[in-house]
Amino acid sequence: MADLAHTTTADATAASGVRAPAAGGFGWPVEQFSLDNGLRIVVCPDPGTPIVAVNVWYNVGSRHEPSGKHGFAHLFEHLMFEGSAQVAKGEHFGVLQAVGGSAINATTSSDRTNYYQTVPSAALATALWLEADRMGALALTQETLDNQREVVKNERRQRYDNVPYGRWHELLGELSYPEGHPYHHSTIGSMAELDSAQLSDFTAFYESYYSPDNAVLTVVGDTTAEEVRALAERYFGALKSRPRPQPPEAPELPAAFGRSERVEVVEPVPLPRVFFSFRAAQFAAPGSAADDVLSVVLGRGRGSRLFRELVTERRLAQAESGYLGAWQRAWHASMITGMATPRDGVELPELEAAFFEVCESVAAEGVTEEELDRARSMLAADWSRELATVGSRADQLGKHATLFGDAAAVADRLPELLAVDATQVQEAAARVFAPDNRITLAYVPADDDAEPTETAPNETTLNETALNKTTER
Amino acid sequence: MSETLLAPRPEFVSPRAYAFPEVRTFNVGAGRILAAHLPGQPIAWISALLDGGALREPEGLDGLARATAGLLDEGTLKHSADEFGTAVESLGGSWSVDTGWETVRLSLDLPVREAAAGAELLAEALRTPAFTDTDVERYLSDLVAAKRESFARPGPRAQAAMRGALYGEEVRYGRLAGGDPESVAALDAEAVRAFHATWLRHAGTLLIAGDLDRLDVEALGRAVFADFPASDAAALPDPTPKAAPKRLAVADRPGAVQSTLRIGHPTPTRSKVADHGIDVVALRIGSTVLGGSFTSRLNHELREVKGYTYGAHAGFDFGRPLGLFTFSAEVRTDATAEAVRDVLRVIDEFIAEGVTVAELDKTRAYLAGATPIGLQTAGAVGSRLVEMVRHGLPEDYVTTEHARLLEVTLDEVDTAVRAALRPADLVVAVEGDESVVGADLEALGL
Repeated sequence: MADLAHTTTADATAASGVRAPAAGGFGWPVEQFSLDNGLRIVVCPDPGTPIVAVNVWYNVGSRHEPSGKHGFAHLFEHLMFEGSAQVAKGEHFGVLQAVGGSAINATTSSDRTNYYQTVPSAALATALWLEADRMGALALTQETLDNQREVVKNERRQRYDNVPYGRWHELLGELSYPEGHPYHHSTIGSMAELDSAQLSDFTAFYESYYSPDNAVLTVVGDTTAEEVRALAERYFGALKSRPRPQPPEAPELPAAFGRSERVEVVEPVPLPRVFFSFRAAQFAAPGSAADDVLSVVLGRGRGSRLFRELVTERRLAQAESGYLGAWQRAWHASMITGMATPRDGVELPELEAAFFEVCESVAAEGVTEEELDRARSMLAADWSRELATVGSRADQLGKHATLFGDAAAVADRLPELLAVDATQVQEAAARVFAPDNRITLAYVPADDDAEPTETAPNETTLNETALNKTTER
Repeated sequence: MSETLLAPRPEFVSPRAYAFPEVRTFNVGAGRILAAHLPGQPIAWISALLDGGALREPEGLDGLARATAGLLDEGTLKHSADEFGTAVESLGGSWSVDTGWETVRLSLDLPVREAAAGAELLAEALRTPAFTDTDVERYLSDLVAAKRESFARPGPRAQAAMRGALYGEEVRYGRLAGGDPESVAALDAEAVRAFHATWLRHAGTLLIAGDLDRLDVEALGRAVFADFPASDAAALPDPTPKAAPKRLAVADRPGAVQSTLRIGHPTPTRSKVADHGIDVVALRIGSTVLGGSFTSRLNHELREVKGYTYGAHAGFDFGRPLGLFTFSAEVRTDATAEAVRDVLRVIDEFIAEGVTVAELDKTRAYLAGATPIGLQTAGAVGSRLVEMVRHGLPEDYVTTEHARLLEVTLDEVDTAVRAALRPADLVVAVEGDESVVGADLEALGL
């Protein structure tokens, strides 16, 4: 899983003002159509390499979970790999591997759930058949639920309970959204909620949300729209759509928290550290692109203003790769989060005050063209890297098709970011860093024998660890 | 949800051949260039590989190679630290350093149209770092704090315990390449300047992956290496593993809700495996079956059957100067000893029974498919160039190994596994709550 607080501003294109070629945001053809059952299909042919990515976005995430059932969307995602009508328990990965598939995984966020794999283009039919089999006839058993419940509890221990600062984004989520709001709770759920999960919860969840008309199927690589249409008709065409409940009601949130709050947590962490949350614009809403650029100018990279001010100039903070990140949440107001660690001998309140001061300096004085150019170059190069693999290209198309009903809107992302000017960044800073729009979460090291508290994540994946080797030597 | 709505499973498809991108080689001064041609690729990857890794560090200064490499972009004679970082990022560049036991590598991933400007910055960092007292003091104090945090997370201490058990903490190879919080606290500006002067002012190999029609490869090489002399350092003797290591090492982590397991033994390095009767491609299939993918025997047993872990992995790292077989997982504290017992049992059974025909077919297809899927980016292609240089492999080794993958037999896989895996030599390192797991681990009688 990506640590969302530090990586989510990667959506951008083009090049710096001076150097940029007249690049559009997306250089491949995109074809879109729907089946009669409502399944939306996006095809992006690229014959360069004989491989093809298959990606399915289901428009369901932890935001759909009722109270007491947090973590169920993610636990359900695990069950999707445990067998279906024609696929035995434990066979799903093996079927894909046997045709040469890899980069096989799924992730669940507050907004959505995505499933993906890349296969040799000759095996496209197999990947589509597998996705159709689990969309149409998933096998849900008590045995797989019990096993995957344990796996998910281990996932939570590994990512959140057993690591220092592991709960920071769960705590900031709870502080940043009111009780009962779809973004108030984290994606992983609590141990007690996971323990209480019944098989009937998941059959109901499946019936409600895993319907063809609640999904977008994206295929990118060595194929054609004609081939995908024929295969999609064969494998998905007979699946029936099912009704689903309205998403939970959520009151519209004001543009600011309306308060400045500071919470201190005493835990066995190695160093003091502070995390921040600021309410920000919903993804693609007015101001959202400016929020993304603002977080890069101020808080990402060696040349960012927060690094230069807090680390090099004032020697208050430790060097980090990022101090701010925009979450780009798509269904309700989003947030920008921040973090900083004091150098030895610096007190947390002094660092917190300096952090806010640097943020406020943008609202007061704006940013320079040089700072904007650095951010634009980074965002443009990020976008090139994002589109470099068929897998992540498919995910971007599925995202835009799900959110805007038009996958081709993906081409707007980079131009939108590159068009953000200094005035808009300054306006964004005034809104985001307003004095009544900040939550501070300070971690203070405890004695060694203090009890660690519980945890949870925001985007969770099925099997990242199983596929990654350890990196220490 | 009627099954009659579902279409039957498609026909099986056979793995296909694969050809690695064309590699061009050049000599520039005392340096060498290896460049892989990726037509149309908008991102280029440039990496300077030099002699001078952790094994070259003076006694008592573990982590100096990494610190020196990390300081190269923290200010030069021409640019302040902030200016340099801004310059790299204004090209859309992503700067990274990698220090191994024998080498230091500086890499830049950036839009191909900026490659010449990027190479100038790479050269500037390598040739004229300022290493001012202020910048070095700032960087090193942050490094100490970062190490403290890293060692508070599960992993590094388990890895250190395994290295210590295998080689002895008194030798450099028995400790972590990047050092620990205490060793990096002993570094200073003088040591950094001396390490740079001794090791990094030499020509090495410049690795490039990108659209060579848009890159002046020899100019990039001249910019980086120019008049640097060749490295004339004598080769180091290979480290010697302990003859009879203690087989259990525990790093205490009070209150841990999971135990971090590292179970391993040394192996020959990549260039010497053939001398030990090991076919590297056959072994890759075998180790993937054992612990290299989601469907591996170890992940299946520990995650899907027992529910002990979120994921388990095992594989061979044919690094230099020695390789290492390692199993790694984080397991529920109350299942720690049982998990270790299961890992050792699964490995024993794997060696005794060998791989099945179904496992061979599936894994062959999986690895064959993974070659092109895993080589879509300039950086991924570049990592294969690194292997070429470090192990003296031919420029077409990815292509020939892929072809070999399609023809390896079951017997060849079993033979390679039995030649490479030595269960009696496995050392078990556990980072966990010793008061809870210690007695049960001792009772395993390793």
